[in-house]
Formats: sequence, structure tokens, C-alpha cells
Amino acid sequence: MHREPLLSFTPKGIYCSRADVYIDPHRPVHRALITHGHSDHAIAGHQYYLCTQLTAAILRYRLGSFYQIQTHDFGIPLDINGVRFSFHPAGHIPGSAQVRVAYRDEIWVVTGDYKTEADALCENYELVPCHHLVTESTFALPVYQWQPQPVILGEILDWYQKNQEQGKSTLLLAYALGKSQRLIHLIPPEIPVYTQGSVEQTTDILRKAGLKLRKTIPLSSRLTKKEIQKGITLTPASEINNPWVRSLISPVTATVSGWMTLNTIRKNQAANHGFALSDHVDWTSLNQVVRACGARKIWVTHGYTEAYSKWLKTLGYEAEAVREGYRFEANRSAENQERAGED
Amino acid sequence: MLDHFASLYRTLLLDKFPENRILALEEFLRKNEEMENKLALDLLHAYKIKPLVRRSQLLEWLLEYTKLPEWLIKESHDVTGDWSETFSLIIGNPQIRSSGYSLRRFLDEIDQSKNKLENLRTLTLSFWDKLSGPELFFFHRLVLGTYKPLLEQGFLSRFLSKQYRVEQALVSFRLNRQSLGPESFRELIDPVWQKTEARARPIPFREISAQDPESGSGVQEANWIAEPFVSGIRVQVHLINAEVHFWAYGEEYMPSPIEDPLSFFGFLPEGTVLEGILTGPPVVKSQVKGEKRKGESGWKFLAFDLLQLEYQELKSHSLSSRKQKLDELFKDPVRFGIRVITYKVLQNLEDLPLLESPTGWVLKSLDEPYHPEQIPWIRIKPPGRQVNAVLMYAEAIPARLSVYQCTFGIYNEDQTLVPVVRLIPEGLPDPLVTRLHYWIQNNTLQRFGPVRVVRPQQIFQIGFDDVIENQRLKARLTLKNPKILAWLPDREKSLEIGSLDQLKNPTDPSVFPME
Repeated sequence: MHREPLLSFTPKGIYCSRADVYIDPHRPVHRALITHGHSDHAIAGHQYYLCTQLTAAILRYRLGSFYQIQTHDFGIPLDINGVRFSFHPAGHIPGSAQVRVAYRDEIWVVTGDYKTEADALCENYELVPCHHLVTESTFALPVYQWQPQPVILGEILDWYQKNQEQGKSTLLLAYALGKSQRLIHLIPPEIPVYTQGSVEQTTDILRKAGLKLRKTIPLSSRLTKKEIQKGITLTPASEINNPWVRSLISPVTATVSGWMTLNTIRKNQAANHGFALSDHVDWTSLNQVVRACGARKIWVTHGYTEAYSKWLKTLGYEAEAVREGYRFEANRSAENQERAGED
Repeated sequence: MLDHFASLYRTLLLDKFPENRILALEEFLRKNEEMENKLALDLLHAYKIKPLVRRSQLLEWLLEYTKLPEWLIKESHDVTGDWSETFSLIIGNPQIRSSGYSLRRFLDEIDQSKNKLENLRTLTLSFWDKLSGPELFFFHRLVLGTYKPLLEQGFLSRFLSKQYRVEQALVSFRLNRQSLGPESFRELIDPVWQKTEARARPIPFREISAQDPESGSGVQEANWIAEPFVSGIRVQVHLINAEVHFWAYGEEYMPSPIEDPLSFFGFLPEGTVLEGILTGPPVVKSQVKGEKRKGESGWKFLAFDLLQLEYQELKSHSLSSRKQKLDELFKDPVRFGIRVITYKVLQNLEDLPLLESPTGWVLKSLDEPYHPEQIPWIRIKPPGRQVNAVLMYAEAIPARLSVYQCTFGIYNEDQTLVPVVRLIPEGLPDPLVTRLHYWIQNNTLQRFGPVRVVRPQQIFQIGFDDVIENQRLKARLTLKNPKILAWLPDREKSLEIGSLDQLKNPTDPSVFPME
């Protein structure tokens, strides 16, 4: 008799029917396993949340402390209705995890967002062998190949140095959660780091949850513009048009994102500069992961799903693009019904 | 070094700030050797290259090299929108920071291989192994023929003049003389005019300053003439050693806009320097589509002064004497398709199709010599006009903090709003710019990328010089020299906003003359 797949893609998210658990659901559910704290993976409204300790701290801050959020350590198995779940480091942002789901002889891994390059802040990515890999594909095209982190950091510091020589204020535009903390960790301690409100709050939450991060200075009216000019200010990109930015001494801005690889995006962005530093896996590493994990079927989510699954098929893998919102669940149900009929 | 040049090229391509472009150029020239600098400036300023290989051919080599399927590369191209960038990013070489090539060696190798496809293929494959990301991008731009010089002559000559304390005119002259120009960077920035160069040296222009008609100039009418001021390029034409040199206002050397300038100016005695206005050919529809205009060049020259004749300087002579000589020089005011209009012709202005729409008049004293240090000639501008227009769209400007580019509209015949002018609210004081910023953010009705459609409530006074017909625009007209005069918040909208009819009919009292 044909067995139901361990995980299925439903309009609410990735679902394990045997354990009645969703992974990164995008609609409110009873029980949710959360890979990391970014808002496209962790929404409000679930009844129970299960995630790593750092992610839990972020969720409490972002969603509110009234949610039932349970934490679970990396590598420790947890059985729910006979299905064994475990978290494994994804290297994307502090606390980010891949979810390994095992039942009898079948293993699935849902990567969430991940990157394989060690950044000395997040737990290093761990390759988890599996039969089914559900991978993200944000940068799954051959044009996205990252330069090593030290090279980009060198470029950022050179740029900061030049700004100092010219008496300009340096602003790095980065996501408040993840990229900002990575930058805080990378910037040498002799350079003061000033943080905009949401960056500071997120950093503080992570610090309190046990992440070791250097001291940062929250932006406030007590600071002089001259002081701010001497350091690096971290702020989300949405702040760029706010008048406080213009009020600094000759402010110059740079976006830190993997998208800065593309000339068109870099040229048309609001910031003056761009540094291609990403928290996602690039083309080369993605292919390495697919090869090394030994999966016989690859499910491609988030990003260039069609192109990457087509590419995997040309390599001989069984691959399928999982569309946003997992709308194709209806087709799958029909397929399962057909199979059940066959049986 | 090639890597320095490649990253400079990328900065110049991507950075929108002139200041950053200057700094990047400054750093490059400081870091590199003299010969490399000259070569780099030639590349950035005037280098043109034909495609060395077809894109499909390069794609074929890439497929072979990377073993990627063609559809995946095309998919990648859809993301980048640029083949040179696609090729460079796919080859990637993220671990390579520099190939160690000098710019000269790199270009020489391309030059040696360019005539035989097989050689070019071998070279391309070897470059794909060795070059870093920015170097690859530059290489692909060259071989695909999409390389374009990124620095304008004016920008470069201003930069070199300031940086190396050389007269801007001299740098500008040398930069434009390409094959005849200096061999090395040191020669390029040598502050001394060489003998051959000195003869073509421009005579410093006498300034013209704009003045409102009401302000009064206090001139004695008897000794003054009023010359029509026409929109165009104010130039000095030098006929030296059977060559015609054009110097634009600001002592900026101009490559000849006319195909064969000697056929126009060759009849003048050697050592003649004229000053006048060069007006370009009208833009016709075929030019917009990229077709070349055939037949008459369309360039016209209005000569209004003679500064040198047979190498004898006349600038110490009075204007009346210079004008007299100009008249003697041009027996026939129209020669060889170029219209030369002299003092004599000025007396019969109705015959001058060139001067159909002078944008003002320049007052000159007939007794005065031509000296740049003298008080400027006075330009009388026709009175400006103004109209009330409503803010319709606001567009976030890349790299401009807290400033929106605003599109203003007025009513058309159907009482619907049509955009007539797009402006940055720079004339407004800072607090008002900030207030406008928040107003736009809070009153956005719809967004199309960076463009916001805002509630049509805020009325602005827009000043302009004239209305120009333009069939390509929705309103079929555009405003000349528009500027924001004032923001009129809390006004009754229907009463205040101007209309197209009012713009077309300047006598209508609702389009006020500027106060």
C-alpha cells in the first residue's frame, strides 16, 4: 500500500500530518516549528511555537510574550506521534535552524533559509543527510556567487576609511535582524557602532538571550553629530528617506545585501553604495549541498524555484518547484487520491 | 593595473555622485603609473571599439566552458539585463581579486587576437581562468562592443586642471586632439603651452550677466547696441594653420560639430578668431529614432565679434572698430551653407530666420575693448511668467535623501489634470521640504515603484521663461527654465490651478507675469 509522504505542502505551509505539525506555516495553525525569526517564516497567530532558544527570544520580542513558545536545542531529537524532529544549524542568522524530520526509514530536511559560509556569529551550517531536501532558492542562479566574507568586510572598512578622511558619516543599511548583528560582530572593536532603534532593540534581545555581541551605541539626541560621524551607523534600509539621516554630517549610505551583486539593482537603489554580503546560500554552495546531502528528491522553495528545479532535473535529480503559498496542494491531493485508487 | 581600472570603471558606471567619481579617479591616478594613467584616461574619455565577437559566439564558448544549459544562462540574463554582466557573474571567479595584468598588456593581448576568431577564443578562455569579476565585466564589454567612455570631456578637463594645476583650456585642448595629442600623462598635465598649442589658445570670454528689464542698467543709449541673444553654444572659432578650432564658453575645447569645418571657415584669413553663437540642427523625428539626418548639416553660426585677424589681436580695439572689420570680412553674410550674421545684418533683423525667437538682448558699448575682466555685458531677459500647478506625482530620487522629484499638472480642455513640468523642490526652504516629504508620505494614493500618486491638493507657483511646443508630451508643451517660486498651501484648488489654454495664451491675465 502506498504511504503518504511524510511532509506535504499545504496552503498553510509545510505540513507533517503524522505529527500534526507545520514547519514555518504562513497561516495560523495549532503547532508550528519555526526555522528562524524573519517575518516571512515566523508569523503571529499560531497556538504553539517550537524553535531554538535565540529564535524564541526574537519571536517573543516581535510577536509578543503571550504566545506559547517552547525552545529546543540543536541536535536533540524530539518525538511527536512517533515522528522524530530535530533542529540543526542553518547558519542564516543567529538561532536559525534546519528541521530534520524522520519517520521509520524516511528522512526529510527543511532547510529554511541558510548559508554554508561560516560567519563567526551564527552556529555554523551543518550538512544533514536526508532522502528529501526542501531547500530555499533565493539566489539559485549561476550569476550569484559570493565573494568570501573577509573580502567584502575589507571593502566595507576601506569605504569607511575613505569616508573618515573626507569627514563623512557612514551608514550601513541592513536588515535589523541578522545582517545587522553580523555586521556588528564583523566591525573591528575600535570603530564605534551606532544603531538605529529597531537594530538596537533586536541586538539587545539577542544579547539577553545569550548571543555575545560587542557594545553598540543607540542613536539618540544626546549624541553629537561629530560623534556619529566617527563611527558606523547601522539602520534598516527603510530609514534612508527619513530626515534624521539627512541631518547627519555629509551622510553616505551603503546597502549590504546579496542583491547588490546586480548592477541594475545597485545603480537604481536609493543608497550611494552597495556591498554584496548575503545571509543566503549562493549558486555554488547550493549545488554542493544538494550533492552532499544525498537526497533523492529535492523540493525547491522561496526564490528561483522553477529555474533551479529544472536545473536539478537536468542533473538527473527528482526535483519539484514548490510555489509560494503552496497552491499546488490541490493537484497533489488529486494525485494521492489516484494512487489510493490504484492501491 | 587592470584591476584598478576595472574597479574604477565599475564605480564610474554605478556611482551617481560626481564627488565619488572624482575621488575614484583621483585614487586611480595616484596609484598607477604614468603610462597606464594616460591610457586609462583615453579609455574613459574617448575610446570606441567595434564588437570583436558576436554575442551568440561568446555564449557558445561559455556553454562549453561552464557546461551550463543555454536556458539557464538566458534565465540569468533576464535577471541582470546585460550580457556582459551575465557572462562575468557566471564565470564569477570570486576567489580572484586581481589578474596582475597591466592595462597596456591586457589591451595589447586583445589587439593581437582580435583578427582571428580562433585566437580570440583561446584568449577569452584564458581570461576566463585568470580575470577577477570586475576585470571580466570590462573584458566582456570590450569584446561585445558595448564598452562606452564614461567621462565627459568637461568633467575630465575640470578634474585634471584642478588636480594638477594646469589651465583647463590646455588640458581640454590636449584631450581632444587624440592622435595628435600628447603621448604620456606627464605631457598631458604639463602646465606650459607648447609652441604649436599656443597659437590656438582661446581668448578669455567676456561674461554676459542676466538682468531683469526693470532693474535698469543705467547705460547711455547712444553708445550702446542691443544684439539678439539666441539659445545655442557660445563659441570662439579659431582658424589656425589650416585647422578650425572651436572653444566653447568657459574655455572648453570642443570637437568640431561640423563635419568639414574648413569648407565653412576656410575662406577666412589665417589667424582669424571669431566669437559667436553656434546653433545646432533642429531635432527631427528621424533623429529621435536614431536615423542620421542627411543633407545640410543644419548648423548655423551667428558671428558677433572679431577678436583676432591674421594673428593680430583686436581685443584692445573698440567694439565699433571690431564690428567694422567683421563687416569687411563678410561681404556676403551667407556662405557655404553656414549662416554668418554680422553687424551689418543686425540692422535688418526681420530677414533673419535664425533669430526668430531671441531669448533676450545683450547690451554692448560700442566704445569698449574686449576684456574679460571688464564688467559683464548685460543680457536683458524677456519678462518671466508664472502659473499655478498642482502636485500630481512624487518620485523618490535614487541617492537623494528626503527629496522627491515632483510632477506638477494643470487643467486641460476637459478640466482633467495633465502633467506639465517635473521639478525637484530645491527652491523651497528646508523646513518646507521636510513638511512636503511627510505630506507626500501621508497622502499617497497609489505607488508605481518609486513613483507615488498623491492627492492633487498642493498648489505651487511655477515660474518659467517660455512655453515650448513638444509633441512627445501629454500636454503637448513644456516649460522653459521652470522653477518653483512658492508653495501655496491651503488654497482653494479649483480657483487656483492654471490651464493649458492659459499657458498657450500669454495675454490671459490668469497667467501672471512674474512679480
